[in-house]
Amino acid sequence: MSFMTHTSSKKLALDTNILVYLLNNESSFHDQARLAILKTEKQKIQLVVCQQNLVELIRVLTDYYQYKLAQAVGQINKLLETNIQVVTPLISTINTYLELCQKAKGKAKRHFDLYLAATLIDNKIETLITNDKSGFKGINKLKVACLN
Amino acid sequence: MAYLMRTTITLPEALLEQAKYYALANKTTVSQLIKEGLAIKIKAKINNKPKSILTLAGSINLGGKEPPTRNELYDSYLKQKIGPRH
Repeated sequence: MSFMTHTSSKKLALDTNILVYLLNNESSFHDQARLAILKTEKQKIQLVVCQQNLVELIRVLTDYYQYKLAQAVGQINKLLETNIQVVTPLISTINTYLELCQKAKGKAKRHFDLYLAATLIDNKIETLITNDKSGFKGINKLKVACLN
Repeated sequence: MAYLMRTTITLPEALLEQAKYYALANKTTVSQLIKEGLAIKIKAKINNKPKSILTLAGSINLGGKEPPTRNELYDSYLKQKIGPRH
């Protein structure tokens, strides 16, 4: 996969869709997600998610897949027990987000992607793996890679 | 030899009694027992590496439906919370 050879950062973020693919053994992207994570672990790259990814994952599991809330919370607790690092927005993240908004003028409806990008940038994470790059276009400080 | 420091700890009375008896029976001291116990606990913590996220791979079955985009995810919620009411 291209992102494995083009990135030199020691930390790599996973987007919510990648978490869903990884957990869901019926997903058509399950094997690709698993392989991508396996490669990063072999390269001793620290995997990261933002807190908002975990909230999103609960909403996706409960609202889109009719998973019970208690079960979804259980999945998040299991995730928190793994080697994945959870990062949070910093005080400065609102300013980073606003800067990204100004650069992205005219391209509305991707604010939550921009806020996720701002959180990663502020935590000095240079690369995000997602399967929906559309909301991250034009963000110079963040490399974005897709599974496919 | 490691530098030793005196400290004060608070223990339940019954536990301290048990420790004294155990130390006497095993020809050691309560200090030594505490030192060994702490060392075991701390070493276990250091060696207890978190498991890989891959241990959760394929742990649930959600069917083949694609997850929503982030926009879809938040839009539906925001419309519900602050959108126009009909």
